[in-house]
Amino acid sequence: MNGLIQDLRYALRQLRKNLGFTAVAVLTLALGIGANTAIFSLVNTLMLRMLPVREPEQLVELLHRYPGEPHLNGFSPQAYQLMRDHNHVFSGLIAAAYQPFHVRGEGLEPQTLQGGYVDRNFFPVLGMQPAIGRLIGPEDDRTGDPSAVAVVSWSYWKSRFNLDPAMLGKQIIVEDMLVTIVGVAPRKFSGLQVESRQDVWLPLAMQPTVVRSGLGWGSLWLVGRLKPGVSINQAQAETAVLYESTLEEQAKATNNPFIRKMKLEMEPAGAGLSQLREEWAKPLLLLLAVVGLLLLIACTNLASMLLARGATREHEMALRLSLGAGHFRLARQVLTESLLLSAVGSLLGVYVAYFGAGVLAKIIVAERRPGPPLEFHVRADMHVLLFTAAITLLTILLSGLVPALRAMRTAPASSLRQAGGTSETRPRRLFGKTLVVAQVALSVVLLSAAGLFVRHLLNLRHLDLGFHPDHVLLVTLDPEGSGYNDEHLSLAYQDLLQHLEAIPGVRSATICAPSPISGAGANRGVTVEGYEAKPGEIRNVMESWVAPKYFATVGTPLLMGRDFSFGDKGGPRVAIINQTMARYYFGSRDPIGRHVTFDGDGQPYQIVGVAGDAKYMEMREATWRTIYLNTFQEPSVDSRFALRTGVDPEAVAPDVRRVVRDMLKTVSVKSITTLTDQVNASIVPERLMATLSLWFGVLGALLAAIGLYGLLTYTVARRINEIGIRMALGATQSNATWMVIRDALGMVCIGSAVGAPIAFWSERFAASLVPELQIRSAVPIASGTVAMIAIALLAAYVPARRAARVDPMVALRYE
Amino acid sequence: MTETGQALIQIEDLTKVFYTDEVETHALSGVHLAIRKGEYVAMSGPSGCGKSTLLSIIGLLDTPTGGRYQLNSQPVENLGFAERSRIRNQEIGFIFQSFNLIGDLTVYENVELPLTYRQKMPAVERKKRVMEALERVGMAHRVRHYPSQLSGGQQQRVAVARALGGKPSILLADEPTGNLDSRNGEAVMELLQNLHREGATICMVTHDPRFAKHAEREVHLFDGKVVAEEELKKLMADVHA
Repeated sequence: MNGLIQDLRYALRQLRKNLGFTAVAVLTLALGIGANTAIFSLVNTLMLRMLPVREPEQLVELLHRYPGEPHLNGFSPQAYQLMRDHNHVFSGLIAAAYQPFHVRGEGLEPQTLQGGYVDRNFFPVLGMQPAIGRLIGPEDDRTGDPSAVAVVSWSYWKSRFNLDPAMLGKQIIVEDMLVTIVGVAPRKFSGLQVESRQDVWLPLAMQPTVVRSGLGWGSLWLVGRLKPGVSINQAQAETAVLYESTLEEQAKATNNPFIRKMKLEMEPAGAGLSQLREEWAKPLLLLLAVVGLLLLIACTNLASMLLARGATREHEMALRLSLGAGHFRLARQVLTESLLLSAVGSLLGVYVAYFGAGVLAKIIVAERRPGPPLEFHVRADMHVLLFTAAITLLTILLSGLVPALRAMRTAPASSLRQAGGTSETRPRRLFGKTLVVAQVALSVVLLSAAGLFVRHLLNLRHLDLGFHPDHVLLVTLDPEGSGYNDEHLSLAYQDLLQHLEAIPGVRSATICAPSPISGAGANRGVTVEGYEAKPGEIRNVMESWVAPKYFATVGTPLLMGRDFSFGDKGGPRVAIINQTMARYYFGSRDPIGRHVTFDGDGQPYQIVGVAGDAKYMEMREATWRTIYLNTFQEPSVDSRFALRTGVDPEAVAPDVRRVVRDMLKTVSVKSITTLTDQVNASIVPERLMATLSLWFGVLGALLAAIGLYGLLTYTVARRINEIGIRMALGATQSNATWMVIRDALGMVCIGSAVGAPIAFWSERFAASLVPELQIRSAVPIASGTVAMIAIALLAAYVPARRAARVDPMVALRYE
Repeated sequence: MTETGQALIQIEDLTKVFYTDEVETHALSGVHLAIRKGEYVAMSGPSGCGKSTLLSIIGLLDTPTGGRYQLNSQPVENLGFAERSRIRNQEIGFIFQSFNLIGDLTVYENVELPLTYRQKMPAVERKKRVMEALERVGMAHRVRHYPSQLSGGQQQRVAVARALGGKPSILLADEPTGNLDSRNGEAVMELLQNLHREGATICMVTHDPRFAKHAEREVHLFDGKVVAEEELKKLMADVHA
């Protein structure tokens, strides 16, 4: 113990003595460990952290999927009841419908809370006990006679009632309904969703009473608890049969045979339900690989720095040996220094991770998506702490082991004969070079990955969207509770459009629902005049409800026919289709004047125009068959406006608010954004991947450059005598410069040659996770290599100049 | 005194002053020296008399503070770094006390090294010269060895071969036997004598009178000045007294 304290004290003294070295080493490790911990925290939150419920590993999420489309958790009440009552695989099946609630009450400020309706099984199946009071149970969830009760979250109880138990029995108004708070959920429970915190739960049976409409076809989220011994595959096989029987009824009722193609799937739900998981899991795993490489570079860097320092301390080690220290004692001394550096580095790294993860979480939830805003709280838990401890241990081993082993091999006699100097043996120099080569190779992989992701982002940015997102302002109004009926709102909006166009800087105004690349969409099956659908053919087309001047406003060309007009209102129903739809149904024939009829709708729409193809929900998707309908011909007009401006679109936002306030006094502006921001928000994963991989790539390359710089500086210092000899024999300054540059280039070229195949393989690995990545080009690897060579030359510049300035007289005097 | 026209090295009133902090050290004070082609000169004198400094200036490793220095009738005292490098490479061969072979290079590569700094010398020519030089010193059979695999005497012979490879105008040897035992020291002196017989011009610094006798002329230095042998003896006696 005494020896350890001595080692620690000595290590501290050494680190304090070499503050520059210590600062670089600690910063290097902090960045490496911090980046890894930050990304792992996100992975942990999104994928690993278990719900605070009883035996979460037994929970499964029920999903359904159309072939070729993403899966969804959204079932009809009928499907839920059938599967709940007739399955043999679940010990319980629970349903919830999530929705924001407007909550007010005596002494409570009105606010919108995330919450949901939960069925009677919800809390019992999750195995939860209330913090106080009781939870929703069978006695509350009676169809036709539900209890008007609510359970609130612990955080809501704390923030609004200051943990006062007397709040039990208090009445609050949810939407417009008076309900009684009967209990508080356990402290750690805030719903099943990872990125959204629920604060209020009502019995599912209350839903028709509260919103005065029934639950929609896909409004219920289902989660089951597997019976002991039942596998997820067994459960899926049995439940799928039950689900398919409900689809049959659905297909007949809606005259949509395509519904029969839907398949039931199940996924483990112990880590909670997540809207982000599917989209972010793979990018985050890729990022974890990227920061893992960064950490490896950091460790290699530190190892080479420690080795170089160890070489200058060889005489000291030999002296210690000659004074009776054992080899293990010397190794322990070196490892103690490495441990101290890693410990300080990881402490600082946790600090970096705390901020980094918070920023990343904000960026992730900033991605546009329909529905309520998401919250994504990244907290350190046992997983994160273990992970950080593990990577810290790894850094200690990777960076400290080799210098420790070298210390163990110190030969006292020969080292002491150096009389304070050190010998630069061939194996040692080779080992130092190997470390730099490894750093260069890893950096080439990182830079190539950065090149790949940046290129992918640029491809997306240069994608032909079919519309021009710049200079378009998107404004969403909220007519809810404004007192306008559909007819009045339609007339008011016509008026509003004219006034919006009169705002200076506005070129045109329209309505569009959904706006392009909003992530939302709608589709229906159609029958097209003159087209015979084949059995099993996908008959659905995408729908957009737009106002006149939509195409001019968003910049989609109208190829044939005419635009919508306000005069269409009250007349025969008209539609404009996109080029893909025209080509699909009519080939080379003229579609103008033909009719399209939606499933379940008797009245046809006459095609009056053909518009150019444009991306609909997502940038990455193929072009859908799309039909545009005049919103003013529909029973209710939509409230999403778009304005093309000749100036910065955000500059007209205050005027838009003023005009809306002046014209529609009771209608509020719900949100204002630009189409450019909406498009950018749709590629958050790509932007984040490109930005982070570029940063990490540059950081890795810088670390490699520092390593190279350190090695070359050290080498030049050790080879001063040799350089002096060379100069005495006629070498010029440029010969000496070239000697160092050649050394650097040699290491970089070998590193690049090693890194390029790894980068090639890594690109394929990345593409297997993100299929949209285009890996046909060698540009990312080539540019990564060129960047690394350029950085290496910069790193070699100073040592090369130092070599060129060696005075042979001074150098030879060292002899 | 030799005729100026035939002198390979012509030094007049050469001075060298070292400045450290506020101390001014006069290493050489008005040295006059001429070395003819084919001559074998030994420079001797007590430690600190300036003989190594003079050798460094002759070898263009250092520059004088004052005076004139002509090599092959060309003034060289004010040349730039690159030109001095070129002349060092082509006209001067160095033999150091501690051999100064590069540990990472083989015997062959060490001897080849100065030739690689000469532009446009074909590899075939380089190889021919390296082998010739190594054969002259009897080390041709050790071309693939590294310096650490050779004895001190062998290393110095390789260093001599390196100096000879470039066919220089003059060989400058700074205490060439200083790191060798007497047997190996004698062998190296014999080698230098043979080279002289074959026409080489040699300037050797030594403090050992036994080895100085191998040269055909001795130059004595004392306190940075060239002195006659008798005068040196008197000065030395004064110092000891």
